[in-house]
Amino acid sequence: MEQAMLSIRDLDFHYGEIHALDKISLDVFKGEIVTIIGSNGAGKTTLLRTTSGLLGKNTGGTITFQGQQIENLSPHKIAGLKLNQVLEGRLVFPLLTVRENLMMGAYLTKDKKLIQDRLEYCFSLFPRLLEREKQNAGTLSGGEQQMVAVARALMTGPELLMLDEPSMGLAPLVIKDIFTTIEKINKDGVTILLVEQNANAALKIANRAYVLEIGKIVKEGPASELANDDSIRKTYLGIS
Amino acid sequence: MKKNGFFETKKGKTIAAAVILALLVIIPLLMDNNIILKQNKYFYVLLCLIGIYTIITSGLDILFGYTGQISFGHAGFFCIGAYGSVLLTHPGWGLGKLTGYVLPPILSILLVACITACIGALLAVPASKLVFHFLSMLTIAFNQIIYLIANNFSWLTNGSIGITSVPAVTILGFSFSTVSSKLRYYYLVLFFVIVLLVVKTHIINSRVGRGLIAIRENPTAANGCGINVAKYKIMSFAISAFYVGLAGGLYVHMIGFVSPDTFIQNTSVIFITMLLFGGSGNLVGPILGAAVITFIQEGLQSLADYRMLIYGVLLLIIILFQPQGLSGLGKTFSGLAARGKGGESNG
Repeated sequence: MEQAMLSIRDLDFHYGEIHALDKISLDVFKGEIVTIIGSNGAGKTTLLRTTSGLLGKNTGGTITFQGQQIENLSPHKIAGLKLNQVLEGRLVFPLLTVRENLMMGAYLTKDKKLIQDRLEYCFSLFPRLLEREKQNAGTLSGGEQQMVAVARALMTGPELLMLDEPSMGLAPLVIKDIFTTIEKINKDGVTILLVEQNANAALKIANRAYVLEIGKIVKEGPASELANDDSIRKTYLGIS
Repeated sequence: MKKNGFFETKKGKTIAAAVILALLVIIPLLMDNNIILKQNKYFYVLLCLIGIYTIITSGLDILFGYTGQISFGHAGFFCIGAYGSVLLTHPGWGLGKLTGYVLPPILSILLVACITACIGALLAVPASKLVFHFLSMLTIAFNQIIYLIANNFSWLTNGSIGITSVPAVTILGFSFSTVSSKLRYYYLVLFFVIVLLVVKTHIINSRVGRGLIAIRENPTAANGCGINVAKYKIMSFAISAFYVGLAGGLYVHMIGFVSPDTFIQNTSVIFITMLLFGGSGNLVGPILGAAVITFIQEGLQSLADYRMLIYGVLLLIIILFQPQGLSGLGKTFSGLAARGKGGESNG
């Protein structure tokens, strides 16, 4: 079996006394879309933020990305490893223009040609952002801000892109667009780890899925299989 | 799209800066020779003070306006700069008392600015982990500690009596003594103001500057973009402290006297007030704030206690109607004008 791109083993995380992640193990292989679904408070965001180091030190277990152990690295170092995250709630830089936001994503890249290529790629993915290039990101609509967040993450040139609830607070039509774009990014060679509450949409585009419940992985398997699983259908898809 | 005004183009900005600079050099010279606007010598002291406060507010702006970190303790850095330079140059105190040797004031001002920057960096190590009110408390405590040291370590600082006859700045035999000519000192201050403002502009437009702005906008997202947030916050504190330390040195060699009362907590609040009044996060705001507040404070001396009342009302007006400070006035007016014309501009 081939080596996983991202492999998490027995990951623990505590918020003080609260055991937020309980021995989580998962693998993401190159080229896949993997989704983690779960309800509020299941630990989805915690899992992503622990992986990218933004929550500080995890309390146990290992995280390996492309053969390198990263669980003890600080977040700005991890950001330089072609592993990048679109944060929950579209954390854009509100007072910077769209273009400045994107350039901030390329902060660690010094090759001007490469930055220009990526910028063009982002604008081809999201033509709307090109129209709004000089507008402050804070004045954009929710969907457009999400585009900025995704584009900014792409500017880092990631091989693995982690998305934290890209559908949160968006209209159904916009969600559809975002998911189509995620599929396109994946086809262009970026591996995707997608965390979602909107299990319906996520399972449609994913290859494999994990179900997270109160800090534990309770189910895993091919997305199509999980979409037909009775308990999943009941709990997450709203179909009885 | 709104058309950019002439002064928003690069060429326009350069010309405007050159004109202002020429006026700042020539007008006091003409005044000194009684050609125009006959003024007493006190006026130059006012100009020097504005220059010094401009340096301080610009330094504070790097920390507050660009990095988004609040500090209510900048009078502490000001104090370190002032007392540091006195102790290194005064024949009767500090270095002079201990060894009999003193440093030339201009050298000590620069050295003390560097020392203040180091202290700023040290303070930033715990401060970089704090936000909002916790950071305010820490910087207030810092201010208080420095003040108490200046006030109580009498063997070092002469306590609350203060130290008089601080030596004047001399560069290559050319004296900047404020006793003989206040105009000369004005030019010295002007020189430092210009250098430090140019440096500030370069810092803000550099990679470091972009990192600082990203931290202000959103620390988590900045971290995700690969910016070492703690390191940049420490840098910001150090640069800010450098500016204020240098201003402290300039201040004390102008006044020729130093006492702890200048560096009470209230002084830090005034620095923040100047910055908010002028507008933070740009080049002009700190200058405007320093100038207007200094004029209000000094010009309204005759009104005694009512001064604070006027001061308070003005501040309230600014906060309510012009939250971007005086430097945002241009934008507000052009926005109003555009609306008046029936909304030609869409932004």
